[in-house]
Amino acid sequence: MQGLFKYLVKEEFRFHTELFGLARFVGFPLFIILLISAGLFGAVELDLGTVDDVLLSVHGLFFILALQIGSVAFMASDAANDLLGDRSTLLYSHTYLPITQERLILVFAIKDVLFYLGLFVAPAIISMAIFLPLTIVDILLLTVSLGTAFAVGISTALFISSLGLKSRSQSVIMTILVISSLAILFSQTPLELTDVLISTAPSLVGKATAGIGSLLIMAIFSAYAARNLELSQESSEQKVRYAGFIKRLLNPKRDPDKSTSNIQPKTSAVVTRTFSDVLRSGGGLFKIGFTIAILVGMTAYLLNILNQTTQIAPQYVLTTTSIIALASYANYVWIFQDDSLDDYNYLPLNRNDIKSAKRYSFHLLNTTLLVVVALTSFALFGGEEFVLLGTLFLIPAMSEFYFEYTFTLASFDPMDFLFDTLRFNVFSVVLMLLFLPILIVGLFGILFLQPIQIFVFCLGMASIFWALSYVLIKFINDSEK
Amino acid sequence: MTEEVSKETLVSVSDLTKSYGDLDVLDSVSFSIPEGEVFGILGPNGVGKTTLIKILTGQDSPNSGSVSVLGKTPWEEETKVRHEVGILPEKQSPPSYLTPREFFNYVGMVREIPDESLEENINKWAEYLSFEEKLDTLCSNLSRGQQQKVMFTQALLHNPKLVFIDEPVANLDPLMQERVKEFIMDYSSEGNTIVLSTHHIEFASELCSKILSLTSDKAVLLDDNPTADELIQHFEETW
Repeated sequence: MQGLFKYLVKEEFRFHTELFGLARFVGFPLFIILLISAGLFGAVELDLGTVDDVLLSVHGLFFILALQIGSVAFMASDAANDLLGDRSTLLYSHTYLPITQERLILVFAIKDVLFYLGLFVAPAIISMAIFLPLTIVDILLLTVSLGTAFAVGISTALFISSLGLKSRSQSVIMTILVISSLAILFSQTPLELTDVLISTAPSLVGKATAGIGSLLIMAIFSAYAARNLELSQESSEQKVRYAGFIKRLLNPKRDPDKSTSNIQPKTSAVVTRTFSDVLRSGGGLFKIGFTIAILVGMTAYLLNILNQTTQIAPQYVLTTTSIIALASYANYVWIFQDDSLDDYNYLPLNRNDIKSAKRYSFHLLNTTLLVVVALTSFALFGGEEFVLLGTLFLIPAMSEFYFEYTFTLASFDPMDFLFDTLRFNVFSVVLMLLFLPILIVGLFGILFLQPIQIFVFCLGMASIFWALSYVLIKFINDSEK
Repeated sequence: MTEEVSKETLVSVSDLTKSYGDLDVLDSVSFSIPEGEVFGILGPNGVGKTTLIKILTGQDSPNSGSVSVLGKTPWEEETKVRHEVGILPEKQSPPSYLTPREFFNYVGMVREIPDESLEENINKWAEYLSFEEKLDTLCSNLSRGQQQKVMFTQALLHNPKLVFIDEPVANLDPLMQERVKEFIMDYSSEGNTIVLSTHHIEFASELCSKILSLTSDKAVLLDDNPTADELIQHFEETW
């Protein structure tokens, strides 16, 4: 057990240092300290809440972060090839060594939790120790509490991944369940939630109950995941899912006279392949629903806090949609991660053919999801019709710009770009600046703009995004060979 | 002799040089391939066989030299060349999450093959290579050999008159290797041209009328159906 743990840690360390470089990897905790310190400094200076409110927020963010990290398990059976290229990892060694999958997964999960505790949680504790009035006992309790929230997040993601959802109906039901759970969790008042955290529960009995409850959740979820997570595709013959959808994409387009679609057959073919990868690979459609659910949950949570603190009602439709649009990178990754340009070398397709198909696929996925998010926000939180209309005009423009901007930097290798921390952070900051006017209008527009003016603002921003996309297409992306 | 002269040259390569950094992979390689020929590229691992196939199919470009495939420069008109030829790459597998039938429909769309002849060809090749019962199984659930058969079929769906095959019998069982040999002979006897890269000496000697022998420092063209013994003797001297 110890030997296995040691080699798993060694492998994880080498994997990260190879991807990021040793200096950047070692500097990462410092970056986290700076980031959280900036947030805490702002919260304290602007008097955005009590210490318990801040602790609760940090717990919430780390729980979500852990869900996100753990969701990699959706691709467990594809990960060796798709995520890691030709690399083979010890996680798959049960296929050729006398060791059980259960044991490997459990030790792997413990390693992952401890590894990320060092990488994320410890720096966060240091920041909080600096900026919040905490005693030594508080800091110790906070370490246990935050670590536990993180571990519960990882084990929850592993558990959901191991349910092996691939059919459309299962995916939809589970997405609704996850969104509802997060909505219920995040709609609680801080007082109700502080009771379930080890560090903030008011009594010793409360702290012990929170601790034992968390341990139970972790134990049950991890044990289930260790037993049921599919690490290899060979374990069972997979069903041919979404055959009707794939057939519709493929079928009548070859003969232009019979075609009912205005997209090129070449484009449609690559779109088909892309969606077969997205829908039939590990996690199926649900992995997308799960990621969106996490983002929507986090956005609703942050808007809720801001609303309580500032007493200014945001334009939920515009704000939620633009925040989710800002996080479209996950959808970009889904579209690109299962193939590479080399996979098309034996066919008469060039780079631009494949890029066109990927753009089409991105719109099909991302634009559709953003429309669903906008309409759901409107249904749940209400709002002005003009703002909804403006948001719906803005969505395809945001999607188009996001695709072209990301393609300029990440091209066909979004995972490589994601691991290039420095460039990725610059990319994110520039994106944030471009989206900032929309966020300001979404959050505070009610103070200085009429709904019709917000509608006009959305049209203006849409024009800017279309213009920027045109510039990127014309002068950078389509001129590349 | 007269017949030789009247044959159209489909591929011609002159003074082709390719290097990666300091490593010279191909050095002043020249040859031509007339129609109806089975042309072998033979050599040990790592001498540039796959690189040469990649250049001929527009997946890579040389440092110097000229290449013409069906009258076109492959790396300048790569989609036009690939539209006309068939390519069986060495390492590619069919997309994991499509069934062979879906994959062939996908290839049919990209290659603009009419529905009727596509369907006919899918059934013909599936029967010939014995994987009809696997047509509706996800490719990720097929064995390596079955995946190889699927890749073989995709290269032939549009009845190309020139086919590039990189390591044709890797992953195939002995029975299927015989079937592939039979196919290559039949296909070339219909006037089609096959360029195959391999390191199997016997396989090459049985099938190829001309062989380009590649070693780490030179390329030699062996004409007139070299026998296995002649090839072995040649390679003992040069490899």
